[in-house]
Amino acid sequence: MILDDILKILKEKSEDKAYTINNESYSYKQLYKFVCNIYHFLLKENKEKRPIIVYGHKEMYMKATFIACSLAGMTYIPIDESIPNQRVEQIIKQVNPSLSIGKDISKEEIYKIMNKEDYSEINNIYLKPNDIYYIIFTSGSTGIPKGVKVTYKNLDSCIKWLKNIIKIDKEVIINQANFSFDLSVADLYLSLVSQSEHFIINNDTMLDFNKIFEQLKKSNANIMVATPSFIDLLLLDKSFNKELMPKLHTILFCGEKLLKSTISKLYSRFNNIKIINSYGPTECTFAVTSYGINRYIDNDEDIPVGIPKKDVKIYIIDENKNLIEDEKIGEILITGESVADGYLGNIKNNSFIQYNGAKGYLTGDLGYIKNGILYYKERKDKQIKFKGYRIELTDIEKNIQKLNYIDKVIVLANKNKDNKVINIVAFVILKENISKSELEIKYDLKKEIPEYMCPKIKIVSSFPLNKNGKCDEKKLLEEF
Amino acid sequence: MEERIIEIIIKLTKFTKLKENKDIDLLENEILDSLAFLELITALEEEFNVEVQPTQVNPNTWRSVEKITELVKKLMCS
Repeated sequence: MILDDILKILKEKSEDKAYTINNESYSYKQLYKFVCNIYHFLLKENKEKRPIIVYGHKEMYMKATFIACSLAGMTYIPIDESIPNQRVEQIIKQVNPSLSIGKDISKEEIYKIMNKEDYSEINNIYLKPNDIYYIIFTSGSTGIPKGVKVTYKNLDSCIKWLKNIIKIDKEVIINQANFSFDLSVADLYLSLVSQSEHFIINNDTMLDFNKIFEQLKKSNANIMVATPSFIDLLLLDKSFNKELMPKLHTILFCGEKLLKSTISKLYSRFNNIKIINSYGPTECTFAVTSYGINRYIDNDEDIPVGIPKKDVKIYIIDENKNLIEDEKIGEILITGESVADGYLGNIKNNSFIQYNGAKGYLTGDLGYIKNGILYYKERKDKQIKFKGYRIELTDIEKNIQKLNYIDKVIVLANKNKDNKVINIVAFVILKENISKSELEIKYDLKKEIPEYMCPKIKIVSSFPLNKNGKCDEKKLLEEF
Repeated sequence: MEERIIEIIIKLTKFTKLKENKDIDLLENEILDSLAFLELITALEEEFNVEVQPTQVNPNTWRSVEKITELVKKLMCS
């Protein structure tokens, strides 16, 4: 399985670059040292093998700790620093971890531990196929994040599938997403199993194009794993082309709907590029379908998300879970090896089900199948995709409602002509005799939910109603 | 032109107070985020028939309406 492959590669102690961040590179030899030190530290400090939280922002110790946890038979939970403290607390409460690396064990301490020169080797892989490999938290409609438990078998199947599609060996892979976003799972592990360099783009200052382009040029990368939104941003500048990245041969997209405009621009800048679209919720381990996108697409055709990997099945069903015929739209149901082990704790859900004798996940996504290829249409509920992140609008509503001066709130997504969310707006009615500014509300909200979830705030005195006496959401969005 | 740019930004960001408060720092106050930025560039290019190359622009330009207006004027002359 992949951990055997990864350990074998690490043990070769090659001087090849394994990880590059902020102009600093670490070799596979160094990475092995880091992993060995952390592995033995964890075995000593966490004898019960309880879950480990790994907190930070893309630093080297995060990736080294992920590998060390897995080899030592412990589940890890990645948390990016952009997640606000109160939400981190909610996660910690649910996980009840043994240790938080980057928090209880400070960054300085972990660097000290992992840099010891006289380290013992690793001779035992403790993780079993059905053990939980990682838990990634996503937006939950109740206002509290829910943890998706992904097993070693799930991840093993995913990474082997990806490696087979992308076919890489000792190349350079660019990372865009932070590690609490499961898009990063693809580049984290593809780089390891192919002995490639994992090149981290640090985009704290998203609008500082020079800084990002400088990193892209320096990377000399072959492969990028990215959201369509990120690539759209890069495409704004004409110099995002073959000259800037002469070796770039593949872009793997996941996380949101890929548009025709993105594809045609990419082909005009990189004539021989391979564009792979993929689809799948966090609950099904990164992705379950993929498709090589051709440069010639008819205007009235949808962009396919692809053909399922061999060990999963995709069904399009109606409300009664009956199969719907080809080319008709229904809910996407996924069964098979990629379906995760459910949510952490006793979260009530009707999404993880048994179907035709297999583990299944009801995605809540609407789509259709045509000639064996899956096409995604839209969500059936209030969940949206924003900057590649999955957000429950009710999660934001519940968190705004918690502020004691709020009377009513409605959160809506503002979409452009391509039906892509360009911003989220919260319309709030304050309680009587309360004076709060929109910026003050935003400030309070930021303590509860991550930056990317924070909506624009609009204080209103009432909500416009439609004929049925319900809030007229369309009118509300148009008026402001 | 400045008025038109303000209208465009309001449409994209829903920040209606920009009219009265046009000196506000668009980045510091998180009015312009990466997605609104994407839409803004496209809108400016369409509206004023210019070509914006973000790598050729000082990132601080995106902080204020005034500087964005200056940039568009410069691009229209070139």
